[in-house]
Amino acid sequence: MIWPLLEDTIRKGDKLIQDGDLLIVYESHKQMKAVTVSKGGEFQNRYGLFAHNDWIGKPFGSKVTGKKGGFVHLLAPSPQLWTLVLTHRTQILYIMDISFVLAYLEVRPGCVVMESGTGSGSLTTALARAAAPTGHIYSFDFHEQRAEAARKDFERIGLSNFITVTVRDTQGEGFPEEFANEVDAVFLDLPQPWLVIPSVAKSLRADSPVCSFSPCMEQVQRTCEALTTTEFRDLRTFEVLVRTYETHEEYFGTDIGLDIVNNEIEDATLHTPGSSPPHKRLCPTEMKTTSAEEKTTSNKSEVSGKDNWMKKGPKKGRGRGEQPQGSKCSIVARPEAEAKGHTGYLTFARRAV
Amino acid sequence: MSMTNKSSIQSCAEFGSSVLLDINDGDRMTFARLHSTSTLKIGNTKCTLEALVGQPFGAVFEMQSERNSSKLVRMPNPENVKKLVNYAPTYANSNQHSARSDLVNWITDVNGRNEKRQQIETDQDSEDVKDRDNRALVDDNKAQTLSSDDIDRMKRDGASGKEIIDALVANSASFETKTAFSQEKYMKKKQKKYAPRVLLRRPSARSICEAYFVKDPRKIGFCRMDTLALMMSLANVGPNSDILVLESLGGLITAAVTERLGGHGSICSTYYTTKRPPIDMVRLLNLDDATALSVLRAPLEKLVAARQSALRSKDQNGVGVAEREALAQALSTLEEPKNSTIGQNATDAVVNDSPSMAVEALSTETPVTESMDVDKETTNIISPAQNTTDGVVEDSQIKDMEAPSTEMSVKQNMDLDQKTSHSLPAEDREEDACELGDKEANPTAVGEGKASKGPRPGNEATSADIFKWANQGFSSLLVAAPELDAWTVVKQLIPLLSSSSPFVIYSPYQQPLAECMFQLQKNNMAIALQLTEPWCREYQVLPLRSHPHMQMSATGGFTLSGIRITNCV
Repeated sequence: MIWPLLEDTIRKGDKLIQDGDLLIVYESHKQMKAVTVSKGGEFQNRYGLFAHNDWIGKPFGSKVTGKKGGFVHLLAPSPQLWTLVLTHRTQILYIMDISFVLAYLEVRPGCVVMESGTGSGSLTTALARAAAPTGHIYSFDFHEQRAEAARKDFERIGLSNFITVTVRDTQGEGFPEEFANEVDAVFLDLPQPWLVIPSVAKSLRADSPVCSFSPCMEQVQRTCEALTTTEFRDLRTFEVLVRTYETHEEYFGTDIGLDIVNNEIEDATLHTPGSSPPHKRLCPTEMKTTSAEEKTTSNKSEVSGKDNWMKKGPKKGRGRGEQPQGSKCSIVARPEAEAKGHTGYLTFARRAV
Repeated sequence: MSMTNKSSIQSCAEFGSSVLLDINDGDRMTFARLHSTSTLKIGNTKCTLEALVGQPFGAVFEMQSERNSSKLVRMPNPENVKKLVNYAPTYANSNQHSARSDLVNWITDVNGRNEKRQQIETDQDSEDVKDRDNRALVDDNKAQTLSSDDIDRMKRDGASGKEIIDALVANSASFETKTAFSQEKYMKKKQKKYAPRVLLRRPSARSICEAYFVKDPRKIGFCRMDTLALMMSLANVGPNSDILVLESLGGLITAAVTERLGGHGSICSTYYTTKRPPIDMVRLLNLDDATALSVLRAPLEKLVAARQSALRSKDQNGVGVAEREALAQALSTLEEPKNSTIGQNATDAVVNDSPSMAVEALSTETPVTESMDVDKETTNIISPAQNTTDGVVEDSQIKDMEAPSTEMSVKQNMDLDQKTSHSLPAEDREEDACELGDKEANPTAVGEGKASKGPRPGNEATSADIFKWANQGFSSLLVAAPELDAWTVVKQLIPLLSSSSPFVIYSPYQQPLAECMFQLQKNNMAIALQLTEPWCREYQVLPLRSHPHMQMSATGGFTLSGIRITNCV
């Protein structure tokens, strides 16, 4: 297992793929799959058939070609990649919420963290990675099959030493007594988190945080009400989202069919390098014309080609690396058309001292 | 399984600890270091921070003034958590009190909620509240009959904050006519002025980021706390990693990475100028010894040169043969700098561990503005307290910031390291060094006690460290240097990563990252490239008063992330 969490699994330098490793097969931005390497095994996708034996011994991050000639990249797993490839048994948390929770709960090596429910283990993976090697995650879920599936996943990704999954109805029973005053952080993703708040108060160490994730504002209000006791302070509720951008070269026409040019207006000149203070950003709109020509173009000049609703510049007279007449070239960034909308509200509070 | 807390999170503020003081419920956040001479000023009142030493983080104090002196007095739980709402019942008639408790007393039952709402409406007590509004309220400043002179006199006579507030309420003509919410708001306001509360907080990367983002965002390049959090995840920052950081945000990124590594692994906070840019924010984290020692610094030139030679020898000889020789050779062939600038110790570094560097070790595209030397103070790699050329030691100015201007810097307390008996060279000190409120006291008193114990983070890396990084590659790269061209930096630094390692570049601007992303794609250096803009909004959640906050941050910066791929197949 390549997770560098246990001393004997830390591999120095470029990590080489071994039999039994879990890796992420990266086909494209939106197409990734988790594969466990086995001698003699095979992997098939639209780019062809890949023999695992060809992978063993190569470093993670290698590009490998299939029998039909297509290629994929083999990546080392990380919590972020795992979130994108894991089997969804429930709705999961994505990187924006996960990262915010980890930062706000101040999860670091050695922390004891409690979580309910486990769900598909997306956040659990990130928590374990953060709390290892000296900490531990105690995760509770009331669904027996899902708890078992999660355990298997954690086994597969090599984190089972750091995660204990227990079947328990925390809404009905609260957290176990033995956790009283032992826990550094609690995360709740439950339909009725307010029912567990008294138990959370008992479990948390003084000045330690709790986070409750709820999609609906009514749930948030009730949870806040339950938290408005003398045992908690610093109630704060957030919503976090991300917007991603795709970038490409774009040609902008400068020829609008006018023969008469207005000479009174002079283009303002940009500062040349060396003549302006270093903190002023240069805007290299005009300068990009040459660099667009000299670079070799690859097959994909966009990160995600799926939502390319805009045509890429005038077709006429445009060959590879050639600039159409009467146009200037710029690198442009445009928000991707699809965005993840609301996932849930994150409510934080601290156990009062 | 043992559940003892192994996270080394400090639970109490000790002498010499860095703390974050939350004044009046978030109105003002300020960092401080607990020295015997540290003071805090709120409004026109000043008091020492002595009362905070040995107290648990999360404790609340009230500034109580008597005659001419003020002190911080610990408020015991549950008093400290009690909302100010509870002040009002002393004055309000019973009608208002029960109305308010009805208002805030929700039941958890879904059906019950509707019942409760009806009850509020039919409750005869609440009719007063329901009918109250501000249509007759004229804001002519005549409602309060006590003058400021009266209040001053009360203060001189030794009245406590509570007594003053009681008097103000009693002398207010309009108080009785206000709604419950409005009364609550009034009480809160008076409390903040006459009996301010201070909450003792433990600094964390998130809270440091948030404090700076509010008070001095320029210093941290407008990086918001959710962006910082996102960077940690995108770069897969976690224990047992070797992480390379290039930043100019005062140490914010290094601090966040250090917190997540917890001493397991190493962080190299690199730099490209002669004078190392400060990473003082790391010290705000009150790191234990092991963690502090995991934070290292090395000049970029050295790292690149070492890596190049390590890779070269790998190509020639397979994996890991004679690398140490190759590295030693590379280091020794770095010549004297060609254009020494004034004030640099060009020939001082005779120790074979750290030769001075040659300009040509850099690739031609890297902007070299000055030659780089290893400062003589940092050649000794063993002693932990040699960090004298840490760049700028910042001094704190905890003054009254009731009307905080965004220009004001939140600075740390001056902390002259007791171990370094020689002080910093003059040019390394910030010009406006002055102690806050300490003009009488002599902060350089060496015998002051353990104001700063243990090794400081940010020691210069040894050649063994550099060799290890060059040979293995870093497992992750974070760049937050908005003054540099992203592509220029990334082009040079990505080869320092081991294969399949993630990297993240932060910028307050989108366009430079877009251009960098384009270049990375074209040069096939990385996959999973993503240009991300985080968005964050906070909500007020109160019964009948839930809505997003009125103020919101419009931008927290952008990140470009990706994973380095091997070029060879």
